[in-house]
Amino acid sequence: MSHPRDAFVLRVFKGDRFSVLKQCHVTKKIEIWVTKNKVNVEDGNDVVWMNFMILLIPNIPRLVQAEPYYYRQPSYFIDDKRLVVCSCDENGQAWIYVLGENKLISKVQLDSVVGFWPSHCTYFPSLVPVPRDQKDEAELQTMDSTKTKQKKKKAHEEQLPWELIEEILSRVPLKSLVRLSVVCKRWNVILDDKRFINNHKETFRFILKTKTKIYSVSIDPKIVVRELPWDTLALEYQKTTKLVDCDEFLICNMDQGAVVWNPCLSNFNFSKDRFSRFCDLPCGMSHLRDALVLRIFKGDRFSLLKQCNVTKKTEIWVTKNKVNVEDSRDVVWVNFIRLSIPSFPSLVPTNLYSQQPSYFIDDKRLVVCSCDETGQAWIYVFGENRLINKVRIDSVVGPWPLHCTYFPSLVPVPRDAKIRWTSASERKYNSEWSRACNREVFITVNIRLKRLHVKNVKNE
Amino acid sequence: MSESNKKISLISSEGEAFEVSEAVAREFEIVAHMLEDGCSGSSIPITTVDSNILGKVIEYCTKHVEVGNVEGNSEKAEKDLEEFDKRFIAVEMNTLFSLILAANYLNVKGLLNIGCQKVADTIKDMKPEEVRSIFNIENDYTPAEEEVVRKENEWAFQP
Repeated sequence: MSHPRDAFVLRVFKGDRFSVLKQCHVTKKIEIWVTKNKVNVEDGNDVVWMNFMILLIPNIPRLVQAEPYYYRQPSYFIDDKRLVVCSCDENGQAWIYVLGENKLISKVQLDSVVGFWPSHCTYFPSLVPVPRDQKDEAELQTMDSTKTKQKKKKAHEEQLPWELIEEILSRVPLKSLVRLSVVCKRWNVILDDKRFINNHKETFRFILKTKTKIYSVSIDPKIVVRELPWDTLALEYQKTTKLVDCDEFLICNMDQGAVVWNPCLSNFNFSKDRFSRFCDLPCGMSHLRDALVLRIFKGDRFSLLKQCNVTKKTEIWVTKNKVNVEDSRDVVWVNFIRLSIPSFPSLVPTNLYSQQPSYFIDDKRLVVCSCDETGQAWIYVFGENRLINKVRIDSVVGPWPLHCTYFPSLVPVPRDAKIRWTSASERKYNSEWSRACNREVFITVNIRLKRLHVKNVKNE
Repeated sequence: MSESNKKISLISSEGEAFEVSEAVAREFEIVAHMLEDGCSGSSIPITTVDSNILGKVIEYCTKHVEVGNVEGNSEKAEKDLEEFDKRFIAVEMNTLFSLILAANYLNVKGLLNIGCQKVADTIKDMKPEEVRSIFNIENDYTPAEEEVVRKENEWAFQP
């Protein structure tokens, strides 16, 4: 430091190196220095500092202010070639500055921070639990609220580290997990964690239903079929004509109305509605036996699977941007996957062409469930323009099960869910329901008209 | 038996040496990696595991190596092993936690799996209060917050 009000901050860089930010109080020139090699904590002799970034930008703000707060240093991180800094201005207001290519790319005042001169630091979210023994940890940073919390934990030492508790919880049946969410906040929060649910030993991705039984099919690490408890009166006495999944629930379309169901938790809700035109599909059916299935993709986009019954060529289209349920003008479809594989199975059986396949896209894989000519259910896993795996679901009793994909969730069915269903038995509709864009929308596809309809449920 | 008769000493946190065959030691993935990395020494310190627990983990691995080496009648062998696992894991909770910690540290996947499964089976029908005391978890809900979470999940409390 050449001046008491220079900014001078040391940070760990790329996990095993150091970086130093310096701003001269007078010229406001910012320099970032980093160590050339990995830092060996036992030997400081071979530490070589090199200049990583010099920023000489007109009107660059001062990162350290005058009395009485000149000890307040900025916090920063380096991300690729950008420097991102948090510091307070002379009024104590917090700002984020993004600097790069020797210019100020953006600056934002953090209006929502209440009060002046907040404490700040950078943080990269992680799921690593706080270590049980913190004796060796250098505690050089200023005290803030998180530190106090860590201290409290220490006084109340837990038996197992969090990763092992998670390992145990992934073996606890889902219903018990919901009951145990009152143990502590962390046990409650984990139920919303998709990664945890996906790793849960009871997790599954498809649901198949025959006349008398219901099954789940998990895909990773291998394809496993399990029977789901069928303890519900409601479904038993009604003839289910269709299964549709959404983000959290399963909708069983009955002859009269529909049932909303969370198969993990086996609770129900009855419901009935109407749709408005939303957008056109990128393609339609060229043959009666083509497969054409719409799904929600990545939570807020659409995807469409099409298989030509003659050539067996299969395509997946996705919408380029987030879908705005109130404005369909900017819906752009792009081709996402194109599979042209010899001896590709027909995803729609020739003798029962109303049976559409169900599918999901996971990274670069396409996983499909469909029935063959004899009504036997199969799971196909495609990737890199080839069929990676196919498995016949032998344990499903009875041919022609209803099937759909499903991602387990622990959200109970809302008691006052107002979901309505029209033209329940109409085969021309393929329906999909989702909480896309944080709205409860009900989506349906009119295959003949190549149109997609959306119903906003919440505004009813 | 194993083609290699080489013996390896595993040293517990108290400094007690347990002599095992290389095949058994290799069941500890952490040891297997050390051996592959050319760690030639015949004694390996396991500083975070005490004699009692290390002895148990060795017992588990020895049994699994033995059964793995028997050819044929695999169905009976598998049944036997299942029975062994069941008896092996029927210990009190603190020992179980120590076994899980050791299995995780030593990277003995089979033991980690049955240990975690045993705890999961034990807690699945317990009251939240009992689970807190088993794991020594502090209840960080205020009574009002806890009431809200209980209300939300009321249905899960019904059998």
